[in-house]
Amino acid sequence: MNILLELVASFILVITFGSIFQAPKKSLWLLGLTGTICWGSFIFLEQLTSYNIVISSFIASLIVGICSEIFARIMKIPVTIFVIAGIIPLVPGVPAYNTMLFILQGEYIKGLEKGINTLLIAGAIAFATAIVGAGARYYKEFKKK
Amino acid sequence: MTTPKQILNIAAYAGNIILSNGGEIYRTEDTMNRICYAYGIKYVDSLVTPTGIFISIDDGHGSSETIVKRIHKRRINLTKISQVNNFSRNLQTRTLTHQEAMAELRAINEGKFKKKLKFGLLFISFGVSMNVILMRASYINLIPTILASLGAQAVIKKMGFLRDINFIPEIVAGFIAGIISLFCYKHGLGDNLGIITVSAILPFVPGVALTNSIRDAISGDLISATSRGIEATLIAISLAVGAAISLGVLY
Repeated sequence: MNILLELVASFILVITFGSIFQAPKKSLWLLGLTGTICWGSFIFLEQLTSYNIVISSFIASLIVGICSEIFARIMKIPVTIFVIAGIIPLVPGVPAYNTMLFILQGEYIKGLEKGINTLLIAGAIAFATAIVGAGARYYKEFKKK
Repeated sequence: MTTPKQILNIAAYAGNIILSNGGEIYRTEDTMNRICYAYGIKYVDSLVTPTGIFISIDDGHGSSETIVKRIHKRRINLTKISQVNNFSRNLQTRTLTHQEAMAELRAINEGKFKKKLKFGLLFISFGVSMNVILMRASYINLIPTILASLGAQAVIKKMGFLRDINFIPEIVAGFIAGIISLFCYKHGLGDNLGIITVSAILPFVPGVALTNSIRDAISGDLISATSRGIEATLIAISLAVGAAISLGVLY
């Protein structure tokens, strides 16, 4: 029940971001589906890796990237639309907030720990997106030959 | 018959629309080159940075034309990018005259003026509050999140000329969201201050700048990749600074 609610929540969240960035109206449903796939795989991976957020975020972003490439080919619209909205549920907002809070309170060691955690999650998402983008480009050139 | 100068005008206008609405460098250059090839130009070279477009064509008989476009305003509208993309793809099969092409591009650029009602803000706030569920906080936090997000967005909308200065809107948004969530938290509405604040400032997260920076880095446009990465980092830092000011004032 909880999981179902979370999946619906991720669907609505991603559609909201689609409308903030003014994505084309016909792509909104697939956009929401990308978000749901993203969060579903994240929940599954979290259980699988015993709550290792960095690796879960990395693999979930890989899945988002692959879904976006496929959906963009189907709808014939730029890939960026799907990638931008799809990774929103994974954004490390709470660790970043905690970093700020600890530094504000003068606990620099704890702040540094949380800051490195934030950077690792953000880096994992960025790196996964980069891998999928480079892979798609390689695939395109491979198919041309 | 379209002259080379007119072809350049069409290409530069299309590039201008893509770049100023949040497209990647690779897509801008590719679209402009494709438009020029569609009109039968043999040699095209374009250099695009986040703040300007340089494009030069050569017909192979010693005459060349160049145009430079400076981009001042940048906002985000992914629909326009997708429309210009379709326009350049369609140009392969049917050739338009200068007037027709410019009219079509102008129609895309001006677009249907999308009215943003209070309902829109409410919908965005409601959607953003779903982040509370994803972060597995208790559901009482939904109400302060909607309030804080609504307040921050309404203030940004009503700010007037300050909205156009870089990084000021983000600081103000962080500050307003922080104050409203702290107020709700102090009066017993909501039990997790961090998640409320983070969810409320989620609409201002620099997602487009970050994604574009990564995609530019992959395709080798290093100038744009570094500058957009710095833009994303600075926006994130200004949000944090705004939230920190609100905490410092009221703690």
